[in-house]
Amino acid sequence: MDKLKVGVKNVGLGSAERRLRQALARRRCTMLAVGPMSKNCVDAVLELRNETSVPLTLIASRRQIEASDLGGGYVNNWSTETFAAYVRERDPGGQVLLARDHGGPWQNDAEVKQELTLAAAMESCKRSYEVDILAGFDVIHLDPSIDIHKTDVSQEELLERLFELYQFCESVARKQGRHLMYEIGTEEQSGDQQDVEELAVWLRKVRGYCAENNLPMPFFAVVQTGTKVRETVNVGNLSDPHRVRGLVPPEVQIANLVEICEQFGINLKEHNTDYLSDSVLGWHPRAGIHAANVAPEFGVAETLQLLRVCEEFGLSREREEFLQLAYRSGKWQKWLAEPSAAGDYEKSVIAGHYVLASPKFVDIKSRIAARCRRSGFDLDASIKACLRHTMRRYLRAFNLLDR
Amino acid sequence: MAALVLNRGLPRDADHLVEQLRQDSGDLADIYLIESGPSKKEMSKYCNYWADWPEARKMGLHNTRGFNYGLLELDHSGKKYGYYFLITGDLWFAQENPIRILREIIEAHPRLGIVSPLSPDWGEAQYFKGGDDLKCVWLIPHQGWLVRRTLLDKLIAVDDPSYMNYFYDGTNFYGYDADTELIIKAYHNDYAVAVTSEIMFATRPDEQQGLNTTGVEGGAMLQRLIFEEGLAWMHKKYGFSGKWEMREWGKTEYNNFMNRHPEYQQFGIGARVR
Repeated sequence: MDKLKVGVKNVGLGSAERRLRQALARRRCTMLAVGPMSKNCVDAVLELRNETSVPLTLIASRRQIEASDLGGGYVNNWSTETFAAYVRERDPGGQVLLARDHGGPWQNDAEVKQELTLAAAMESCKRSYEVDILAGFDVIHLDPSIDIHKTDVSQEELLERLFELYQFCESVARKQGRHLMYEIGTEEQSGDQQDVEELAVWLRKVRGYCAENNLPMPFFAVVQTGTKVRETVNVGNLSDPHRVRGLVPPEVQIANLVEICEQFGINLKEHNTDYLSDSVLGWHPRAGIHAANVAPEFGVAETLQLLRVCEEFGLSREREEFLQLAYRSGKWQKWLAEPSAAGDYEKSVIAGHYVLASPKFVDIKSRIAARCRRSGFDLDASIKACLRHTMRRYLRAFNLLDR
Repeated sequence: MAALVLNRGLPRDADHLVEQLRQDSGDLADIYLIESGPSKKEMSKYCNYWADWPEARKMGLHNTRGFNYGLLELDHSGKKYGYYFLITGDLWFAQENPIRILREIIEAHPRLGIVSPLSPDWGEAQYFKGGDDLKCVWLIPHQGWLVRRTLLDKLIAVDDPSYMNYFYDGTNFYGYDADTELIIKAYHNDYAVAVTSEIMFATRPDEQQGLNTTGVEGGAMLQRLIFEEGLAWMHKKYGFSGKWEMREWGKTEYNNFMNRHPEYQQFGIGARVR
């Protein structure tokens, strides 16, 4: 792999990175990164940013938001290009950061369904990254951890794929005069904490590679802190009140993981932070967790608000149609606990946000909204208020709000 | 040196432990059996002190009140020792001479206030993969602690001492994070708390009710009760809303100790970047 040419223009720190660093330096806090579950969710983030001046990030997975020539995503039928344009029109100062969450080979459904080879999947995800960068994304998550052809990919192979993507993205960024922040880290959903030695070894290799190849160090490292979302609960051991057999208590292990990240000058990011209690969330900034991703909880919040409105306005037919549509999507399957006591209703609630952009739901929603309007009630405004309220819980706990 | 074995309704285990300790270390330590208030048929045959007042008989004494009671009885009897091995009666050891080995360790490190054997069920076993045999920690359950007398003297209640307050805070009946509070006090008083892999707890051959070697007793309901009582206790005493603040405090005192005594940093936990 060729080194990036020395002498390529050093673009220095971008304004987005400067803002994030300043926010992290100003007070001990945890940055909130929100999944763009729907148009209302994105609007809620934009509104919250205006209300609070807190730096917020939208973290788009490839299933949610994807390049138009790769099929786009399921959220509001946006492509990467139209999503970024939508946000930037309403946030011309770029105060809300745009981030790619879990970019990498086979991280979208099409690449999996087509059973692309590694080479083809790498080319496809590179195209996805290229569009991200051209569209103005600020943070790129390099995640080559998925392999649909092999169950046991070695760490060396994963690093090789990571470095290939790293080189590619930085090359595109430099040609565009863009400064990117990188996020690295594989997603293991064991619900336990990462091994400290393993993290140190891995970061050491990344540091060595970046130094050798004139690449910026990652801004974030995704570290498994013991979170895991199943249905509408966080079932990872982070919330366990008692010692778990064979595991170092999370408050000890995470302290060590934070120290390792800080020794490398990297910010620790937690994924799957949804549904944790106020008490656990409040500990995050004190523990030194620099950022946290929250996504499905907001999708569920919107679904529940829609159902509440249907109940309040006596819209039982629309309520039933929505529940059935969500259930039939089958999107709840990957979230089920084992064993699960979830009934059809619970499954529908888990999957509701996946169907919000479908033509059938658009029709359902128009009927709900029309009925609401007759009573002077703004459906979308109520959903956004509900989402902002849910997000504020995180802002308070993460020490992002002035008291 | 004194070993205080606290029996809570498992006389066979307690008898076995007393016999093992006497056989190994009878020349080194006086072994005392503290009965935590059970009926006579659940008592060890080696009972030295029996908490036989009505409340103790009704509810038993868990670690907090049980060890308080035993330590206070010993002190009242005029017997003072340089070290106290406070151990629950349902534990077994994988090695011989646990008392001897633990004493050698604590004597070799003058700033060690508490040394605990390692349990194979604890995740802390990973700290010893590289060949180390002693690690300073800020969070470890009390199952068998060797405590230095000079640390004890700094922490014991002087005014109106009783089984409710002598060493542990006995208002925390089940003791959730009461051991963490003691660890915090130890570090604050310039004593470290360590775990050693030279002595390991062993898995009991038969499952009986009582502490498993993770230090968590009982089924889900009892565990919930223990946790909720602990939360209420730390909220009332410190204004903490969860276990996180308590653990964070422990880490802070640990860090401060390490800054004051850099010679102990070699025993610290966590990886170092090279």
